[in-house]
Amino acid sequence: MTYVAGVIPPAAEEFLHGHTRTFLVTVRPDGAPTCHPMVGMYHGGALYMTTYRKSAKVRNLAREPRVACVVVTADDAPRFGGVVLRGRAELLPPGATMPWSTRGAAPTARVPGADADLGRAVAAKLAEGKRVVVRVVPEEVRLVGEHA
Amino acid sequence: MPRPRIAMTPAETAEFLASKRIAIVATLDADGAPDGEPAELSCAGGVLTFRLPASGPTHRNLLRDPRVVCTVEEFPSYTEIRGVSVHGRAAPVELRSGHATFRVDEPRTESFDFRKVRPEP
Repeated sequence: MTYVAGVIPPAAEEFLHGHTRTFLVTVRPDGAPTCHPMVGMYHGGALYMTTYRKSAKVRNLAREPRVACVVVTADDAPRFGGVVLRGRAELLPPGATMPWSTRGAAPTARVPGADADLGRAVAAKLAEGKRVVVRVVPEEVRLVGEHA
Repeated sequence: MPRPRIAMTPAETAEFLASKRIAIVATLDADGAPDGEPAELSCAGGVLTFRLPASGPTHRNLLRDPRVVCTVEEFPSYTEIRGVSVHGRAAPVELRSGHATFRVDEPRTESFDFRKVRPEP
């Protein structure tokens, strides 16, 4: 099932609130697709990720902002499933942090192995501009695999 | 996945791929925009194949543009993330029971293993 134009179906939103395992698909300079494992946090209708400002994926999406994000369960989950978001990636300005760090409720999904130290280290790298926030507002949403 | 110092060896890569059942398969649509979909992965004798619903976008995309990347990843914790991406050209193998199977030809592999170095976040 594919949903287009701004309305994210409740089943997809519920899934995104509970899962962070994300594969970001970008286009390489030679035009071929490439795929990067990421942590994606869903908040206010958009998916947020952070990465190094000088990384290949940032160069890729600055050149070609169209991306796909495949958010999935663990491979061995009782029901393997996921949500595919397609849309345009935006880089937030250098120094910008995740939107919920200054206002609003933080996403509820847990990141494996993440603790307060890791959170502070990422926040410091964002403040220095070494890392940047990538925001993807979905234009197309699909459910894949098994869903309850 | 550009950091060669934390790349897996060829043997580690082969073992990792053989241990995984699911890959994310990324393609380009008719407009050149990226798309992705999970697929059942199979790796035997150095040949990588994947199987996914024939009704989905990936099957359609690959028949038009065979450029593909299959990515597998394991994330037990932030310092132990491992991943492998296999880039190549997808060749159709079989269309059966509503599923399409493709083989990845001309494979080029990238990998990383965060256990090889404790990265700064």
